[in-house]
Amino acid sequence: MLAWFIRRLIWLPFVLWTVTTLTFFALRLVPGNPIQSISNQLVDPVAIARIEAQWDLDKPLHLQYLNFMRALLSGDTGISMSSGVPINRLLFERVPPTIELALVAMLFSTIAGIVIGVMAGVTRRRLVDNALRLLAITGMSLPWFWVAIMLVIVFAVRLRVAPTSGRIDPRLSYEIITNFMLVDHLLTGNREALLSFLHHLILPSLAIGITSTGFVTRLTRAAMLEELHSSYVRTARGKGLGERQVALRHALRNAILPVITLQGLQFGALLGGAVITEAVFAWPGLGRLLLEGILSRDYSVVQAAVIVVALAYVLMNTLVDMLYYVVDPRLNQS
Amino acid sequence: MATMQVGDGADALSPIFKSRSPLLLRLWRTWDIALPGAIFFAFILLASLLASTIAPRDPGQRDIKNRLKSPSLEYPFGTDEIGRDVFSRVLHGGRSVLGTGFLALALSFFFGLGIGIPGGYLGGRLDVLLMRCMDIMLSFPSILLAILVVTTLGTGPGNLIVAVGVAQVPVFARLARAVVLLLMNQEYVVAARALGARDPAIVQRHILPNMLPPVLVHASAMLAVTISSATALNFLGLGVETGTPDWGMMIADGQSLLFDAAHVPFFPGLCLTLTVLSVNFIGDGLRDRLDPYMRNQSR
Repeated sequence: MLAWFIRRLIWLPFVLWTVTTLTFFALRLVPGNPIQSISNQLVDPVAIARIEAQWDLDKPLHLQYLNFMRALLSGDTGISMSSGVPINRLLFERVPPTIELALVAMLFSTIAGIVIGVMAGVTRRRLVDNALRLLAITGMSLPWFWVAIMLVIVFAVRLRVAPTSGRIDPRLSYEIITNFMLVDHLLTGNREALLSFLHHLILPSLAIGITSTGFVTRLTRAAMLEELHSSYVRTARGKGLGERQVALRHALRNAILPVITLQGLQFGALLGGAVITEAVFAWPGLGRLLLEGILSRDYSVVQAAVIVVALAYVLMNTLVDMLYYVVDPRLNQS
Repeated sequence: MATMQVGDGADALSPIFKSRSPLLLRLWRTWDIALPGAIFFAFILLASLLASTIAPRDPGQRDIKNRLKSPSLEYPFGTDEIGRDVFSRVLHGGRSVLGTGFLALALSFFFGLGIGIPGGYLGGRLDVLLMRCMDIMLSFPSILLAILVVTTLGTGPGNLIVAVGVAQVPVFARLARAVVLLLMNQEYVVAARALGARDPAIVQRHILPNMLPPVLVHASAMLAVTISSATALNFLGLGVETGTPDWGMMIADGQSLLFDAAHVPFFPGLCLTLTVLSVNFIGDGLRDRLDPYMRNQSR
């Protein structure tokens, strides 16, 4: 157990390093000099040389890499090639919104998925089970960006109960501390801003969450069915426990284990979903930063965005793996 | 999944020939939701293949006088902002979507098996090395990996296929490896080895034919993934060229029309959803059929 933890912790920095390196070199493979796209206006060779020097582009690849890694380890991610803004600042502005979106979507899909999955698992009526199963598969099949657009059409354009885009009402004034709005507005006690933020958060997180709700539902249902047929459940029933107790106290506790793993893996999908859904809601997150970076050929930004998403994903997976060991006593013993 | 029994597909078929109830009912009992899924998918496939025959208009034909028409008999899915017939464009778009999905799937299938089989069969350092490489690819969320590949290679239909396919290679590699490990302990493989069969022969005669059913079932479900990610990349403008009829791109174009002509993004998205849904139906139905464990549980 301890050995496993240690192995996992040794593996982690290695993965982080590989992901960073891979991204660095992949983007250096892009044909053409990145500086050309931003220096179209510049004909002065001296100016071009100065810009190239600023981003190390005049140096051989291995030196670029060493400088990049050295800077990264000291916490410096460089400067955006297209806007000249320090990337650390861009990340501070753009990472929290995406994490917020992914986490809320995850919360939504976990709760909704488990509730529906348990319902499908315990019901004795095949019609109900089949209907819920179809619902789950349909949820899984809905493309994020289309759901997002449809939600906007229905709730924002037609019913006018939700805003079409943005993260908060731009007319409000608020203080930014961590840039996690939930935290910031709670800390400053800014009720109006908090409500506006939550109001803006509903549709995007729903758009991302629906798909993974389908996955959670299906897995919970299968796991519940499996557990309900096991011998300890028969024992519990034999002791005279009610069906409700058996399902929720006994079966669900074990059925939830695969769901934890799934949600850990889903976090990557949710981040990916956020990247795509942000385009629909003009949500000022990492996904938009990444896309803007790609379209303006700003590889310093693309690199930073890709690395951050991958890091978040790897960390989340490690966390889930560890959580799994804590939650499942059977694994603890081996 | 680990308990999946190989070669069960043939047994699953047997009720068709035994039972006396009507054919459709028997098919339904055997294939469950895979049946409607397959029928619907075949319909979409056919409609896309015959797009140039069925489509009432040229997908690129502009008609400014008839722009932003609501769906009607003349324009079943309405027209877009430069008067192109959305129905014709959806039909032609199906080709691009399904073509990309299938080719990307084929790519990840062959490379995945090419990595997973030697890894699982030979084991040792090679296996560790290959699987660690796959783990590293898996540390990118798959859509992000696809975006990274597209950024590196540049946009275009060919690169789109590569990007979407590469992102799914580790999934197939891991699956293939797991199935190979399972098959290696089967008596017939052990017997073949004891009889002195060489490795390539064992893989070709015993492992490959027996691993195909479970891997193909998985592949059928993965088509849903390749189709969705290809459309997602097109939606973001990282795939095919602007103006190409493609569902993802049509949805992206329709985004600016939400207030005036919601039908423009609605229909391509509906077709995409129905396609993915039918593929998921096939995958889900087949899995329940071929996995005896699931079958017993759900009946």
